[in-house]
Amino acid sequence: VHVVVSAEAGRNAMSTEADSDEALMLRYADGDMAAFQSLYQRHRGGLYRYFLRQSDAGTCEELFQDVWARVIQARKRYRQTARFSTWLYTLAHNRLVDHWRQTGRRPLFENDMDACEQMNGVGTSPSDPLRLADLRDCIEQLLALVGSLPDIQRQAFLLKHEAGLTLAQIAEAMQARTETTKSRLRYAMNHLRAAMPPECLENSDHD
Amino acid sequence: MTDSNERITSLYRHASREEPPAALDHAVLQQARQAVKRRRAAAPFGNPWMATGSLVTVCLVGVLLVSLLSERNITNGIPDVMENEAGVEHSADESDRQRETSPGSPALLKEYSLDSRQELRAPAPAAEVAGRPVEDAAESRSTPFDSATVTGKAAAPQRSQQLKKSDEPLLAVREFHYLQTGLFRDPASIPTLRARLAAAGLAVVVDEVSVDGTRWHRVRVGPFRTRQALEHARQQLEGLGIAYTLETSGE
Repeated sequence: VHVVVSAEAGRNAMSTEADSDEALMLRYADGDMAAFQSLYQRHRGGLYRYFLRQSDAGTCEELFQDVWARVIQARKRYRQTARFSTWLYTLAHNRLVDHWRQTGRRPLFENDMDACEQMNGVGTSPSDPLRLADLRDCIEQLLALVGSLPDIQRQAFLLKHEAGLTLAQIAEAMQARTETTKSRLRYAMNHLRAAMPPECLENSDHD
Repeated sequence: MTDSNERITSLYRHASREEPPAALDHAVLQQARQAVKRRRAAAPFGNPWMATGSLVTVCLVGVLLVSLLSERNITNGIPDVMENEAGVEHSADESDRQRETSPGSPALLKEYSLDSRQELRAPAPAAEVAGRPVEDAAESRSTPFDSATVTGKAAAPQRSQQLKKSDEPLLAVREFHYLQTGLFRDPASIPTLRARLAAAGLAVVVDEVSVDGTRWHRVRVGPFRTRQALEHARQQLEGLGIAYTLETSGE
């Protein structure tokens, strides 16, 4: 059974339904491969992009496989008390931090405002307004800006927009306080808003 | 500000469309399928609890049979060649009978893994092949593609003697077991992983595979021909935090 739905749609369908993420995971733990396929289809895109925005393509593929491998290996220990997507992205977050540690890179636990100010120059180099108004260029600009966000701001942003997690769930996945997480999200949006060319923000054709 | 945030959110949703390539999907789904299949089939080397349970059952049945049929002297025809198991003749004998009827039983694998080099030179008439790989990891690195799996159909004690004496060529290879630790389009990711694996003393095999017309670089550890070597490598990978997929390839 292949059900291709977005993470958001999957999130809305969860909780009480028999095909909720949690129910699918429990069925997979009992050996139901079709349940895993459904679960994988729901989350493959979001998880892939979560890593792709934060690493090169090769590392993304490695981390993506690693996280799914951990889901598979831990299937018998999974309990429905834990929301599947929160658990999945907690694994992803931890794996990414491990990767940074192994490669000698330290996640940027910045003073959020300072980092935001430091990065205000990113993406705001003089450009042709007409060209930037083009949707494709706006997209490239936005993706570049997301990639250049301070690590923990970017993670919070992606957990919201790729994983579809709520504020509390993002905080849980990142092992942070809710208020801290809220600040990170706010600073991330502030940065993107400040760095994006005005033409892109005014153009609503892409909606 | 709210409008700008909404536009950024909308633009991001419009922009963020990348999907994992088909080969990644294939690798993950294969691993998931393999995991549940392995649990059901207890493959490739069996569940140790099941092995223990079956051994205990066999011992109990054996004691019962021996006591019931002692007048027929059923045990006299079986030579005592279990040199290291002098105190457990009945268990050994019954284990051998079990192996004859269950060629892939873990008990057999345990015996065969005691001395892989001798076992790998088992003469074909006495030991028809149908079992599991046997060889230690060190040897598998030096001779990666010459493994053999043996399960005897002759009486086990005779087989044991022949295995220890024979220098005949290896039996045909049936299966290789690997632990796949990575699948990459970009080979730039390989050296780091390879270095970590090599530092742990694991034998690394890197090759290329084509999936849906795309060339991928596959990083695997192995091949393994003993349960011990495979389990040891698994533990090492888990200790290193490296995910893996068990892969079995035929001859």
